[in-house]
Amino acid sequence: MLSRRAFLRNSTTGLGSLALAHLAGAAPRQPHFPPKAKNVIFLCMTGAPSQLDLFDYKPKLKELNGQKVPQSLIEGERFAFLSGQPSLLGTPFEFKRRGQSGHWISEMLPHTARVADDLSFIYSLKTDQFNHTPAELMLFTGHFRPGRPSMGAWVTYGLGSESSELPGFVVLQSGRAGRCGSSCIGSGFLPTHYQGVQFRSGGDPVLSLSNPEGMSGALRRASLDTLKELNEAKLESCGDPEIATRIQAFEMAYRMQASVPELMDISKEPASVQNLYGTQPGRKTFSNNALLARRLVERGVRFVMLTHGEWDHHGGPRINLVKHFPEICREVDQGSAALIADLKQRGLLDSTLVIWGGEFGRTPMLQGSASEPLVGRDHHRSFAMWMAGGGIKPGVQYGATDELGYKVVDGAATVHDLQATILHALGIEHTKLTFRFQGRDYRITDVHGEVIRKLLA
Amino acid sequence: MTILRVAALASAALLCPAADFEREVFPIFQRACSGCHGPKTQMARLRVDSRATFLAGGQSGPAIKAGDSANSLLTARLTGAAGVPPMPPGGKLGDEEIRRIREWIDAGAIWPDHVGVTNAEIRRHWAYIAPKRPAQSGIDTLIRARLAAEGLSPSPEAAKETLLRRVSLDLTGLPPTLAEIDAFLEARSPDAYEKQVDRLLASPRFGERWAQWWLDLARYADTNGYESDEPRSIWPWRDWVINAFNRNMPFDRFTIEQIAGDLLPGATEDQIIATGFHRNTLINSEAGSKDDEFRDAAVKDRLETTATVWLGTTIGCAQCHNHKYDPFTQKDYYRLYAFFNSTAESSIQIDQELKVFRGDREELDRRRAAYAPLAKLLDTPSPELDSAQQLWEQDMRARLPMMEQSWTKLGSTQEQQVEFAAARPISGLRLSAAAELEIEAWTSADLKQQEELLASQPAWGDWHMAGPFEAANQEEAHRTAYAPERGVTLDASWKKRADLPDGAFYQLDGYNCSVYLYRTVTAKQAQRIRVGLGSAQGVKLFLNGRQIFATGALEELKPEDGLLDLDLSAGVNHLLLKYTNGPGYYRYYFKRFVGLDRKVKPIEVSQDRRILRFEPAIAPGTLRFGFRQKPREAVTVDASSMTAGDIAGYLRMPAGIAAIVRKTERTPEEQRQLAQHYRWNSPLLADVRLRHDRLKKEADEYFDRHAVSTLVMKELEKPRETHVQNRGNFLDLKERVEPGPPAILPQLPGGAPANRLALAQWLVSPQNPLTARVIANHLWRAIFGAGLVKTGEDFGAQGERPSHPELLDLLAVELMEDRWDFKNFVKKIVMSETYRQSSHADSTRLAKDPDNRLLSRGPRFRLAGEAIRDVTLASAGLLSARIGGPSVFPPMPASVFENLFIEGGIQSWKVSEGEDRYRRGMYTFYKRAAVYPTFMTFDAPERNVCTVERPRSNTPLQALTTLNDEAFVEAARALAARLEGAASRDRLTHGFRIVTARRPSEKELAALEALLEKSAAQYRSDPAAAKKMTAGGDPALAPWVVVSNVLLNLDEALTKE
Repeated sequence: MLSRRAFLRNSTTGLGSLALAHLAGAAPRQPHFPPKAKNVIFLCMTGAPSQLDLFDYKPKLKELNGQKVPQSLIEGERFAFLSGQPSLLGTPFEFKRRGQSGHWISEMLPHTARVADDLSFIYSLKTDQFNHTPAELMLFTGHFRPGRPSMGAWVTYGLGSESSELPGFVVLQSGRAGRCGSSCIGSGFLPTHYQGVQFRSGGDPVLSLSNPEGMSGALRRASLDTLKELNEAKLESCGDPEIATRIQAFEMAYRMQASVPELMDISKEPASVQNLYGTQPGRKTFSNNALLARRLVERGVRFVMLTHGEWDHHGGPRINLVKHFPEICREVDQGSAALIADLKQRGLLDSTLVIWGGEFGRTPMLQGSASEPLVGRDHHRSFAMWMAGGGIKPGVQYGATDELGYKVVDGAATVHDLQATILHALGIEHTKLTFRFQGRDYRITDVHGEVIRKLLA
Repeated sequence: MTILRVAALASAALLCPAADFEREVFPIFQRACSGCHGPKTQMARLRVDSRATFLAGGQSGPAIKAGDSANSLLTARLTGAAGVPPMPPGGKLGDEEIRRIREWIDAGAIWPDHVGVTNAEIRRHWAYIAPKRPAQSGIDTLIRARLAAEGLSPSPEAAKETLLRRVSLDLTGLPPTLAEIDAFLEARSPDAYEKQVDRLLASPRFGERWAQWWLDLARYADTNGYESDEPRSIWPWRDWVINAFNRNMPFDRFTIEQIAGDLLPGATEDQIIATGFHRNTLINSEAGSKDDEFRDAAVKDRLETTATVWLGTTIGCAQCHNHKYDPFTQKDYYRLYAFFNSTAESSIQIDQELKVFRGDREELDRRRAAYAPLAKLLDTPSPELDSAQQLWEQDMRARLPMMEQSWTKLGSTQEQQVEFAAARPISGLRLSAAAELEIEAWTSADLKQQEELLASQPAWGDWHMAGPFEAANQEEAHRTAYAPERGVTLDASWKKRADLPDGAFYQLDGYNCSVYLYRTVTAKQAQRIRVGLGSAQGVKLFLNGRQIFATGALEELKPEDGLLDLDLSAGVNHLLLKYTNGPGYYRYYFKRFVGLDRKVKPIEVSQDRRILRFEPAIAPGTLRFGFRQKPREAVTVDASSMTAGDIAGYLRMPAGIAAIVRKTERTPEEQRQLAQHYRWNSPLLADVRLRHDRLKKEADEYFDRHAVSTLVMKELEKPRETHVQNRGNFLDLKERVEPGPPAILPQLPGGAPANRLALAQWLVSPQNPLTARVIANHLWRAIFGAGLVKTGEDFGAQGERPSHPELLDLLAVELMEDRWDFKNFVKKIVMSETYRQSSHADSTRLAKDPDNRLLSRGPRFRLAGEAIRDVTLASAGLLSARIGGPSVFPPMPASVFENLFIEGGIQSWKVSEGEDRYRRGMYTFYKRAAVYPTFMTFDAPERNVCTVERPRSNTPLQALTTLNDEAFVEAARALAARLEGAASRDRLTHGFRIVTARRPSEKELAALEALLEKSAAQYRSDPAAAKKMTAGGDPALAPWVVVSNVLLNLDEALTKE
């Protein structure tokens, strides 16, 4: 039998690499098949934007504006707020065909219209949840009850991270927050290493990143050296490989103390880039976050989630399509389009999948009375999104709703199908990305999910 | 059919040697087929490792036709005939192998008895057979038997201080004090260790430590979950758990009271509190949510949690279809569902709370005793009362029809007028409404008077808004006096805002900024007016250039707390408001109180009946109703008015009594009830009753003042029907089912009703093969880091088999035989030599037993987040010893709330003062949408669902937390300040011992000393840094804070060793 000391000496490198592997995510892992995309940026429009006022153009709905919705269409349906026989609401905004692809995009998103040819649209998404929180959970975790890992956690679990200085899954938030708190970015039953780490615009970008006041960087380094020395002595005497992992974790923490502030400082980006995004350094804006998303992807972060609300335009003085909808469209339009253009120009769009959308859609029916000028729409279970970049064929229009934009009539795709498609772009076979918990193999697509092949490049 | 086939096989057996199958055919099945059609998985429901299942075939029918391989399904599948690709999918079998199989079929398909597994074994997975006491006894004997078989030997006993720290952490969750360590080191008696164990078992910390373990299983949290994630009060249940462990409540009682305490005969308050276990389910109050949907989700969670915690069974798989691997059907799932389907609570709002008295019981008893004699008097019949009752009954019979008038629907619009044509003043109206309401009721006279009052009111100018004025942060924005505070001129920087509501919240724009709102108030004469102010963040009010009112920069102001009286001068007054925001959201609220307030709070009579009482009475005529909030359900009002007497009678006339009054023939019991009701309402005893009511009211108020509420289970009188749900969809119902355990397990004893109580008793009955094993395994895991069955949540076919099956059975049997004595059970484990081994690992042990499943050494693993906080605070000498009570709010960075949708943000986290800053981690307010970040980082679950085992990750974010988080830095300062000793080395040794329980080696001491000197040198050259590092304490301690910070971050500090 080897002495303990000899064993440890012989396997120092072994323990070191074991430790790295334990810092789950530090090592990239192989996908199931050659991927098109390496990274994902999900632009989450929480509160559910109106597809009928942005992308899914319905001239017939405009023509029938103000008329009652046919009873046959809504028979037996449950809505969050609508009852009786509500009136139809045509979009108050102008739509145009854009670029070579001829995508319909409304006047609310002029910047997005300019990158139309890089985008592909799904008009036929369906969810079975019509309340925000369950629907957000459905979209981001595949299940309407909280407790499951989020998409970003699944992807990082499946592929690992390519950064040794940053977490694999980063979340940036602007505007009003989404409704499911940490549940939509959490790691559920996966180890917390895979949870989305919030990079914040105010205070420490990552909680506890700064040394306590009065401790210089040099002193932190000195104290970490001492800690390492003591922990190494312990490792030698007791042999528990977890100690090696812990030593590595403290070292990575130290590296993060430098790399995260450097990352968050966008002020050094050239003016042309700042203008492209419309950034306002020092503020908490979507444009700033869009630029940060590009910087994160450049540094090997696997999954970036940008959330921006509130898109819940029910109508009435507080939140309506007349005043608040144009405002929030302005907040996200330039940054979204700039991100596509910037990624493309840097050759990163081919390896980065970008998704834009909310947790469900909005009804073709008006919520509130017809005499109400501040119009809005109720929650609706069919909706639209756009996708672009890695793994996605540009210029595709997939699926369709009926002429009123009420029912999906072609290419119905569930939220699980969307998830399967995103994973596919990353080289992951969604049925194989599983984790055993409480005795069951869980996956984000639950027992469902079909890849939407027509969207694939 | 089956009999015939067996007979055919038996006769064929005479013709052909059996060895052919066993040697040449069965191995092919094992190698090529059993991966998908074997013991673990039976795709297409085919299983090939047992004669019975093989012959029965799968979903396509029998696999073979004995004697006829050409027409056997198996042949077609193996050769790929009929257009189906050949089996196995990985690559067709060789021709020779297929030939052998076909020959075997043609020869009669003889399968000898001894080949493969028997039918009985398949039906009865090990976990569904009751545990039996094994031949060998004793934890150590059974562990060592396996070690010997694997060529390993046990490790020697751990060093005494290491052992004491380990057992202290396991039994109390806290490290030993130096005094305790020294006493143990000095103790020489053979039972010294056992004495320590007994001391720790008796410590009130024992209950806390084991409650901490139970709270993850019970998914305990202090908020509702989902969007709004509002606070709830259920901590009295958490305290019940602590108490139960401290009193060593037997685990079977512990089970029964939590599942069904409310259904026990003569249930005590404590037993009802215990049912909070299953009220830890989520509540979704997002507007537009439907109760049926979220109630269904809660019921499913309850049955799945029960199955996980007690049965180690993944019954959730059977929600949509029969379980794929275990013998549970979809019907079994809904039979369990039925047990939980008949409770009264809502799942979209908080209700069914029990009020629990926590004040001075003697005082309460004294107050209650004061009115008891009066109650007795009211209960005593007399001839005089009897005759008065006759007259009252006649009168009531005449009035009763009035109480059944037609009702007017108030509909769901927010305002509605109803005509009341009563001849006399109206003292009250009856409403039917299920939910609590706030109603305004205005008479025509009120409206007229209001108009007059308005005329004498000052004239209010329009709101104008300036800003946002931005700042670096919220405090600065709140503090800085921007231009408007120096006087307002309505220039271009001001925008008219006629849209701001009065008396309602309104969202304002901007982050880290302030906005100003300005309006004039012109009074005819000097007068005092009342306004209401509210805000989500900092707000200030200035009148005529003078600051009248201000909150803190981060403070929330509720409208009911923001009532201000303003003294107006005659003429134009200038009113200026300043609202400040940080990184979140902020809202305006301002209300002018003008004239009359006609808010009426209806009195609840029964679940769906309320009374609007008017004091004084109002004149009949038109009443205009308004709802503060749109009611969830239609409200109707009885257009016939009530007098004060009617109200008293109505309030005091339960529905049952009204029915008895109407009857002409009554049973003696009805007669007695009626007489009693009369005495308690008779004018003859009015003054006794008044005195009684006053004293009772006082006692009740005393009770309320000292009561806390907690969520509990309550069974409906009439159970709901339960149906199998098609694919788990609660709107798509199939056949009806009755409550009952899964068919594979022992059934309920006959006779008793099949309710939650029966289920609870069944769980812990000696016939149940699962519960004792599952619980023993949970406890083993809590101490050793892994269960004997590693998949503690799954004892089914997909779970791992026990590493030491006999030991698991032994523990289960003894747990039951020992009447589920919890402390004894834990003691038995920690007294074992297996537990007391050193946790050091050498190369042999690491190679042969890398995860220590064989227990060739003692347990060694990282502590949970809460425990890391506890040991850190204990080492620092800061930890509060207070047990139980409402959850507390240790400091937390405001930015944690950035990702929350709900308004209020960090304001809802009112940082606790004093001792409550330093409570044990388990008392930290558990907010599901934003779990306290330190715990979250160390793998704490959100507690939305039952968690059997937390992952134990090891990450850089954890390192940042223990290095830099405010609580940990504060602990380092406190530890630095408590170090004693003349020389540096003594103090370093003292600190090292506090944190690790052991003495440092010479090398360790030297390393710490070097750091101390380096730090001291740096702080000598930078005294300002020393001041900051010690946060106002003695700056000379700064180098010691650095060293303490290192000590608290040692792997050994964060680990149970």
